[in-house]
Amino acid sequence: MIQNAIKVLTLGFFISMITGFVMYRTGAFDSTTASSALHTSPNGGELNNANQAPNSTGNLEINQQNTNEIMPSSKSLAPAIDLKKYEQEQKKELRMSSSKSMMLPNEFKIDVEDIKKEYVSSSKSMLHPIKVEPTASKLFKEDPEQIAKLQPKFSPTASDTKQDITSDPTKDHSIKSGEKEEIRKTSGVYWGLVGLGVLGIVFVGIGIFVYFRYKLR
Amino acid sequence: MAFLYLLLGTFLSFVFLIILFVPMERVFPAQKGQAIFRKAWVLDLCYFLGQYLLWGSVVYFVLSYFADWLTGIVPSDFRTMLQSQAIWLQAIEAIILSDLLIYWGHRLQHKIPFLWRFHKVHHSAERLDWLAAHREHPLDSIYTVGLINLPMFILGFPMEVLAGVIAFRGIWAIYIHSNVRLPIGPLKKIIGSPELHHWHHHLDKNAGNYANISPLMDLLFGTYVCPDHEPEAVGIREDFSKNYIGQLVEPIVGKSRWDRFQDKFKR
Ligand SMILES: [Zn+2]
Ligand SMILES: [Zn+2]
Repeated sequence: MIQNAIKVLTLGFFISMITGFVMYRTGAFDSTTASSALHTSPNGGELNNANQAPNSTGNLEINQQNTNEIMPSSKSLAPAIDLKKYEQEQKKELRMSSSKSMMLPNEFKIDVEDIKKEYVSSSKSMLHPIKVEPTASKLFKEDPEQIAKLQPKFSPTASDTKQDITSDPTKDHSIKSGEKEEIRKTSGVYWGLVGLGVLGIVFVGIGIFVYFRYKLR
Repeated sequence: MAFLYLLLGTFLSFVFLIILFVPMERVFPAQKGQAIFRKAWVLDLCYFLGQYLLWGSVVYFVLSYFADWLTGIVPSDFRTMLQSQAIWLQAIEAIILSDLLIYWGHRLQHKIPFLWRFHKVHHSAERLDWLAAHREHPLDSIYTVGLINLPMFILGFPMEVLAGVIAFRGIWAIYIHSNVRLPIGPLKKIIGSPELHHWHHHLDKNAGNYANISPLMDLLFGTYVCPDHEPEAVGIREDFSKNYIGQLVEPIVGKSRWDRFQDKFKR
């Protein structure tokens, strides 16, 4: 009798804890959903990266900005946490923890921060339409003025300026390269898709082969 | 500071899992004599801590880039077409595709020697419980987590919609490893359970039960195994390193090289 009661209680506790956990992860208890962006390993991974948010914020922030701009759909990778707000709060702290080689995402973030710093600090002056590193430009997405300040390393010398004003080839070249890029992009899409299709076929093929060849129990 | 958050999160997760699983393992034990601090408990604790404090982020990091890369090569038209479906339909597609991929991916892990090298880390556990669930090589994690998320990456599916499913899948993956035997009747053909997954960990490398959250794929492809008792022994028959570093390095460098390195070190 007592044993049965213990069994029922334990089972009830287990079920309610799991239900509670799932509800918590779907954000039923508060406004900030801690829902993970990734399925964890079916072998038994973490509790869906619940604790990873602080660690991978740097990484996520970059991805979010990159992808929001270029590939909106990979937003799905960003957990439903207010990353921007969190990032603002954590920026300094994250930078401080950079010495820990363990924290890969933070390190990555710090690199970008450093780039930002370098760019910003080395030249405040010139407005010059030079292409900025893609990552950096996205980082400054919210602050266009910062982009303008991104010439430091390329700040034109007198001769450079001259060239820019006088020589059309520079312009032409930039246009051409832009066109090229576009062409590369479009053809890249199809080749990528073909590659993906081939990969898929190979994968399914191997699966079918393994299935029929070995006839697993 | 971020690291402190991580430590706190790891600690809280650890406590939560203890509270969740230890009573179940006490009340419904699969192996009655198995102590909480059983053989290789510290090794599995290393895996737990390693996964939470280090590898989890690395896996996440790698997959973020993989997802970006995939997003870049999937034509937007195709994606728009997929996303124009009803959200519930997309969710079902994502879950079924995930299950199908992870089922076949898992079978390949057992069939292809290169994949088995990494996956055998997970199978090297000779005692199963909730902590042993965390024994997994990081490269194996990248493979499995990548596969399971692949449909979402391709579909561009907002995974927040599946938050509940993802959370359940995560915790259930741990549960099926726990030292619990709790027959659930006909439900065992719909939902994965320890009694099925323990058989997957049988010494026989091709023991079956490759699906995790639901055995439907096993039923479909004929690999469903459900004897009415626990397996006599779990683990692997191969000679394999017994320590954390060895288990992480040996699959990468190969057994002979790792043995030679150890010999040199001993001398
Ligand atoms: Zn397992
Ligand atoms: Zn396996």
